[in-house]
Amino acid sequence: MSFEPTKEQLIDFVYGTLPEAERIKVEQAVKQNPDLKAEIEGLSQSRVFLGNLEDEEVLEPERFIWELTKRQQKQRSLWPLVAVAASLSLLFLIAYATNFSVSYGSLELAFGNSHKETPLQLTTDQVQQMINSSITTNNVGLVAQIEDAKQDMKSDFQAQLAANNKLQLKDMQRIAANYKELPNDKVEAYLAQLSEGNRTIINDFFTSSAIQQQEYMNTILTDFYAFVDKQRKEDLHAIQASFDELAYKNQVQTQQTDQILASIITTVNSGSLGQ
Amino acid sequence: MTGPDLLQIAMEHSESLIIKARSGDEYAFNRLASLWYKRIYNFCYKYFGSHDAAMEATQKTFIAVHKSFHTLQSTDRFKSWLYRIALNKCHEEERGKFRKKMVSMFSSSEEGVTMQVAQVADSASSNADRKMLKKELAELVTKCLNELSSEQREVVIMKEYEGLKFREIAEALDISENTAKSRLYYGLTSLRKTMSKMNVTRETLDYEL
Repeated sequence: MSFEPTKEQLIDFVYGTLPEAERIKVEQAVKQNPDLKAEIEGLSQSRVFLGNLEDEEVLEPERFIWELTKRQQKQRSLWPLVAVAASLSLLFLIAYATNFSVSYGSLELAFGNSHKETPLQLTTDQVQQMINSSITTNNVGLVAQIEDAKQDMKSDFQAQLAANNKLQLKDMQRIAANYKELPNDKVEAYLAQLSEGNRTIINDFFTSSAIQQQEYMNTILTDFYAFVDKQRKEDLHAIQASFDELAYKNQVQTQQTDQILASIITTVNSGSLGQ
Repeated sequence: MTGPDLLQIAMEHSESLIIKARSGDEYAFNRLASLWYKRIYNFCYKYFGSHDAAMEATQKTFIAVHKSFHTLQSTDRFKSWLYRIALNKCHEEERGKFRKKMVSMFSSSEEGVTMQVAQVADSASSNADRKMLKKELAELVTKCLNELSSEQREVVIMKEYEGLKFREIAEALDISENTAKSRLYYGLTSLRKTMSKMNVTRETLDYEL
C-alpha cells in the first residue's frame, strides 16, 4: 500500500519542518504520484505568489508613551467636565435654598438673613507688634530646643564611644590570646579558606560582569539599529527633497522656455504682418 | 549588515526590554514598541489591505499591550501574546467602518487589475514596466488575501510574512499546531484557486522572478 501524506505533513514538507524520515517517505511518494507532485507545486506556487507583497514602510511615533497618555486622557477627558458641571449645579441649588450671600468688602460668606457685626479695629502698628512678638517667642523656643538637642547628642555620642572602646579592647585581648594558642596548620587552613573565598568572589564578579557586558552589548545593538534606521529615513527624505527641487526647477525652466518661444512667435508674426 | 538583519537581532534579544517594560519601565516600553511597530503595522496592513485600518489597529494594539503587560506570563510567549492582541484589534476594526470602505475599494477593480497584470506581463520590457508589474502583483496579492476566510488569512499572514513558528501561531490563536497547519493548507489551496480564476499563471510569476 502506497504512502499518502496528510495535509499537515504536506505543509511541514513545503516549509521544511518535516522530520528527516518522514521527508524521505514524502519524496518517494511524490515520485510515484503525479497528483501529489502537482499538489505540492500548487502550494509552493501560492507561496511564490505571496512573496510579491513586500513590507510597507511606516514611521513609528517618536514618543509612544506620550501618545498613549494623550489618547487615554482624551478618552477620559469628558468625565471630569461632567462631574464639575454636576457639582456646580448642586452648589447653586443649595445656595439658592439657603439664601447664600457674599460680601466683598470684608470677605463675608453668609447663609440665611444677614446681620452686621462691628468688626475689630486694629491699627497697622499693633498688627506688626503682634507679629514681631510672636516671632521673638518662637525664636527663643527654637534656640532652647536646639541647645537641648545638642547636649543630648553629645552625651549619647560620648557614652557610645566609651562603650565601643571597651568592647574593642576586650575583642583584641581575646584575639591575641587565641592566636597564641593556634597551631600553624590551623592558621594555614584559615588562610587557604580565605584564599578560596577570594577566588570565588573574583569568579562571581567576572561571571556577573560578563552577563552585564552582554546586556550592554544588546542595548548598544538596539540603539545602533535605531540610529541606522533613523539615518536611513533622513537620507530618504533628503533624496526626496532633492528630487522635488529638481522637478520644480525643471517645471520653471519649461515655463520659461514656453514663454520665450511664445514671445519669439509673437515677434515673428507681428514682423511678417508689418511687412 | 543590513537594516532588517539588525532589527531581527534586536527583536530576538529584547528579553531584558520585555522584563523591564512589564515591570513598568516606560523607556523600555517605548523601545520595545519601536522595535515591533513596523511588524505589527505590516501584519495589520496585510490583514486589511488598508493603511488607515492598519494604523488604527496598530495603535490600539500597543495601547492594549501597555495596559495589560502584567498579564504576560512568560517572556518566551511575548511574540505570540503580542500577535494575539494585534489579531483581536484587527477583529475589532473589522467589525467597524474600515472593512466596508476597503471592500468597496477592491470590488470595483477586480477585472481591471487582472487585465492590467496580463497586459503588462506581455509587454514589460523596461524597468518602469517591471515596477508597475510588481505594484500590480502586490495589489493582486492583497486582493487574493482578502478573498480568504479570516481564519485562513490570519494563519497565512502569520506564517508567510511574520515568520511565526507553528507553535507560536497555535499559541496566538489558541488552537493546536495541527489545526494551524490544516488552516494554512486550505489557505494556500484556495489562494491557488483564486490565482487561476484571476489568470495569474506560472509564467506571470516566473517573469517577475
